[in-house]
Amino acid sequence: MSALNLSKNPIYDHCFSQDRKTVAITKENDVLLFDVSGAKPSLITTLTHHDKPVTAVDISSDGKIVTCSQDRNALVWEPSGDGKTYKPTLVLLRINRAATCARWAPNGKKFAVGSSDRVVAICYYEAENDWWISKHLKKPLRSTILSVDWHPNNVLLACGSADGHVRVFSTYIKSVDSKPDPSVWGERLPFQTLCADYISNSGGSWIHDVSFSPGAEFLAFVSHDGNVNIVYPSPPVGSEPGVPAAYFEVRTRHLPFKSLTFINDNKLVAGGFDAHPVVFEGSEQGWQLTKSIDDPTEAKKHVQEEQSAIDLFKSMDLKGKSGSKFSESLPTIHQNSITKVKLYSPNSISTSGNDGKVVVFKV
Amino acid sequence: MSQTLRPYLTAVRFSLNAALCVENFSSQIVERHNYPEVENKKTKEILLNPLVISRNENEHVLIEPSINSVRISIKIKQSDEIEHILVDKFTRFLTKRAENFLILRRAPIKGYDISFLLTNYHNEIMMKHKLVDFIIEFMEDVDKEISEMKLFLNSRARFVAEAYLSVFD
Amino acid sequence: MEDWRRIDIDAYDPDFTLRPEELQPAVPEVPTEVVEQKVQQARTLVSQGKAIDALKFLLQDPPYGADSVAKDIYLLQVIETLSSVKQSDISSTIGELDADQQDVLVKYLYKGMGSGEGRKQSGILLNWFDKTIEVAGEGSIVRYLSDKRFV
Repeated sequence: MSALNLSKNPIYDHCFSQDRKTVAITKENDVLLFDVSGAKPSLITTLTHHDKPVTAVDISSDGKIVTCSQDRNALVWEPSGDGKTYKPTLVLLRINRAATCARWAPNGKKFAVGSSDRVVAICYYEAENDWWISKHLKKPLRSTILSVDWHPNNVLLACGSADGHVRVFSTYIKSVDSKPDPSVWGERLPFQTLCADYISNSGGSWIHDVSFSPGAEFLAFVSHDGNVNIVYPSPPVGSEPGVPAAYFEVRTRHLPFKSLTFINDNKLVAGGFDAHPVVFEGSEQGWQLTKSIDDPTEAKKHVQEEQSAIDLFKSMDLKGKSGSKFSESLPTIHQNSITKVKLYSPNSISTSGNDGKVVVFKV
Repeated sequence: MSQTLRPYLTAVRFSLNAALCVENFSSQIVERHNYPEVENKKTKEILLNPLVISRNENEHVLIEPSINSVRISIKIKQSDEIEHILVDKFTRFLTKRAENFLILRRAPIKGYDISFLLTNYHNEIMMKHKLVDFIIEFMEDVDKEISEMKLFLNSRARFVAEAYLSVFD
Repeated sequence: MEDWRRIDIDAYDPDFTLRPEELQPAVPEVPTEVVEQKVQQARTLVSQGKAIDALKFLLQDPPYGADSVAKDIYLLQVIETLSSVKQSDISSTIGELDADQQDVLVKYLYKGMGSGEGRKQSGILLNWFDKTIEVAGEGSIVRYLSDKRFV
């Protein structure tokens, strides 16, 4: 478990490079790149171009970085030869509200940008003009897209929106993609095919994050009602999206989760406003919460034991109250909510938080 | 601390903690704008259900959460005319200085004495648990403050009356 | 139409924003008679001294689809039932409820504290609230906040 104190500002998104030697974090209008291979993280470079807070950053398998921001733009940064500087390329997003999330397709040829403009822009490179152009997924989106995730076949895309819907679309683009194999999500997949559309019984709340399982057989998403939802699909009938074959709503005692990632097909980790990650395990028969990582209830005992007389005097002297009625810091490593959970290695995850930390946890 | 104050404050603490799950969210209506959605209420899907916690008929708290901001309005205890005036003066004193007080709203919501507006920026800079602690502490202290002022006012009135009436002694 | 400058044109664009009705999940309509019947049944249970059973019965299937008058009658019965459970039995009663019922209970507690009638009983409601959160955690408040089916 190692914590990197990288910023005084909140980190909305972070991403490690493929070799785990560099990490990119958002900091207000910029993106910072740190070299974390040494004992201490050192700043490599700052990617400056946006003029509103950067909402997401993602590094593709071949090292390209995509950033998107509330200024309605996204940029692709390509590393130059020396590995220190990056060259930005324009993306024609054609949206006129904030961009909220961005993800590379696994093959690095396309990426998806969700936005408050109620569209998802699927972007791909056009060599003749040397820029990235986009095609929009529009219907039936009616609200801000908060999260997107790619299917390993580079064609299907899951997106969660603020009105509580999770949808799976096809993003098949002739010039870029090869024809996908038929799967549980559907057989014929022209662009903008709606393969699935899910909403919780309670009317749905903001979908903070959505993720395909590693085998892409099912979906998991976290919503603002504090639940973790796992849906097993059934193929669509005609033009109608498929109804779920099984839908598990795992109710928790926790505050809402902001992000989740799969460890394997039977295990996932979610983290959010409770500032510590939580592990869920299950299968097609059902899912449940199994343990908390960095559990505050255990850490709390520790703190109380260690409270010494000098602390007591200090608090009386400084604040004029006896005993610490209020804790000065949270008993967890993250001091504020977790904003993103990502897979770091097969048995560990990395999290970033509003407290400006990036932490790697063993699972 | 009286009997119902503790459950009242814990209820507020838990509800506030749950409501303060906010994130940076820019407007869906106006491009390149980012404002507290709870003040604007233009798009319904990013508002949550408001909630009221009441201690008795004339003491309650209203919490209105949204995706990037939470509005908290407090109705302070006023059992008689003097307390009513004191609360009015006291909250006016505070709201006039709202500029230096970051989370204070310049005008309270109708039907309440004082309102706070917490946004995701406050939540990020000032740490959530401390914000919650602050609101709770404020609620605890304001009652104490008002009753102290009332006592002070009464003793002053008594002194004035005595001094005045001693002339006729 | 003289005040056309002030018309909120965005509201007329069906693709622009979601209307509140569209966000509401479909709930089956519940006629007032059915609500009254349930209230009566609960009242009988309370008078037989089975307040805990009455509470479970009331929280099992709340009338989401009833009109507001019927919902208020129902709320009053819930509050009455809550107040007839012995102070010392509150924690164990909550423990007996399943997760769904606990979430519904939180909804009624909040609604009770927000209504004029319930405010008079605030002490009892706060007590219940305190104990419920101990058992169900903050998750149940978050679910109240985001649930679009109203009691």
